[in-house]
Amino acid sequence: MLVAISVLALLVLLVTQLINNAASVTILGNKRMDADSHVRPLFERMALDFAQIVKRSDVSYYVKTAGTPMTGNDLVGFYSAAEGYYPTTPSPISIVAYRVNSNSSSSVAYNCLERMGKGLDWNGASATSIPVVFLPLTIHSTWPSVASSSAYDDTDPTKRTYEIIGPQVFRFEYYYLEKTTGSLVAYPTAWASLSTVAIKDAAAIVVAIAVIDPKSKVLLSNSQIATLVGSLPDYASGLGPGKLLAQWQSALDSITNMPRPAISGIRLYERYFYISDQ
Amino acid sequence: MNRRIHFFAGFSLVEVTLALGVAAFCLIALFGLLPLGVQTNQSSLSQTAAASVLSSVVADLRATPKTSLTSPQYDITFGTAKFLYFDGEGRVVTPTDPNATPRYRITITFPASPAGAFAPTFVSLKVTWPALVDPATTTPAGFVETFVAFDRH
Repeated sequence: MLVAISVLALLVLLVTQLINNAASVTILGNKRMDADSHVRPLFERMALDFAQIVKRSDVSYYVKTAGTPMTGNDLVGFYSAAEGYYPTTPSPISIVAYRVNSNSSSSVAYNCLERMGKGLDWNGASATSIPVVFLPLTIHSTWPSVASSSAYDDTDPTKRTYEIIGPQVFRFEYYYLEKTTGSLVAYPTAWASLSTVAIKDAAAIVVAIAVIDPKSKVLLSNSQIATLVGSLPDYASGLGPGKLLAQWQSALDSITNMPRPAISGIRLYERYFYISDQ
Repeated sequence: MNRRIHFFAGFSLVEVTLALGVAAFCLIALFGLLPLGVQTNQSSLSQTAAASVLSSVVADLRATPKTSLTSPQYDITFGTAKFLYFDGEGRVVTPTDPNATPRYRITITFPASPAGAFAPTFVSLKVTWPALVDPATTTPAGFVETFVAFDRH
């Protein structure tokens, strides 16, 4: 009988070890799938937004230029024909903006990617809702939250037009594929400031993001994630395809003062978004 | 006369041995299911990663300026078949690099497109794994494929 119990105990031990190992492999795989599944709809949303960007010389854009170089997480805001949330009578134009929220004090969106999809009224349809504004009025002077990583356009939380689109995305960087040279650049040469932006100078916008899955995120505090944001360098003109992500990966590999399982759970993605000539 | 009856509560050796046998049988059955579960998980992981690779390559092709034939990210030339290797993180790697672990192989081909001023450009993409298996000669463990038409005018 003792022998039988010993054999059973050995079997249980073996199965426990196997289950533990299988669980480790499965959890690792699930973390990756979780991040991949999180990113796919986000990129699809961005593709729709960028594909329908309004390309006109009489409207403004809030994008990265020599005058607005944007250190750390970037901000982007533009008019798009993508559907937005309409206050009253819908026009086909919305304001679309992306940012990573940096409000550490009160926001549940802290260190999360947010998107604004604010539908605009037809010009003259409402006395209170602001419609599309044309230059010299700019997006960021009319809706200051576009140029902010923490402010909202309404103090009422139920009326805020930013929503969390990427709760696992903590780093957001973009750069351009310049049309005339075919080179990757932090911003086209002619874009000295926001007033000189001609969106047709860019053939594509390249978005790079860093994603941390929920299981890894709980291992880090918000301040550690904020430190991580600063550790991942900005894009500098001249870096070839994939080089920014390589730099980010090197930066992550060199981090020693944070839990390794959390850092190894960070996934980096890059996607090219075509800007139509139409 | 003082008569005592002793009752020994418990199981006989046969009962215990039988119970242990049943438990062992169940454990072995469980043990047999584990590889299946892990394999299914691995397959899901591969399909998800392959779909991401496909999306990334299609986005790169779509972002290629009409004035250029070569895509900016993966250096794919329209009209020229190409295959690339990716690691588990979705990065392009070369199979000869000893530090790289290629997991997926994407084969990009350009089927004959219709002629005409506004005709689309057809592209066929197939991601297979394991990466070092040539899908032309050997059946891969898994694959994901798609077909895309681009307006290059």
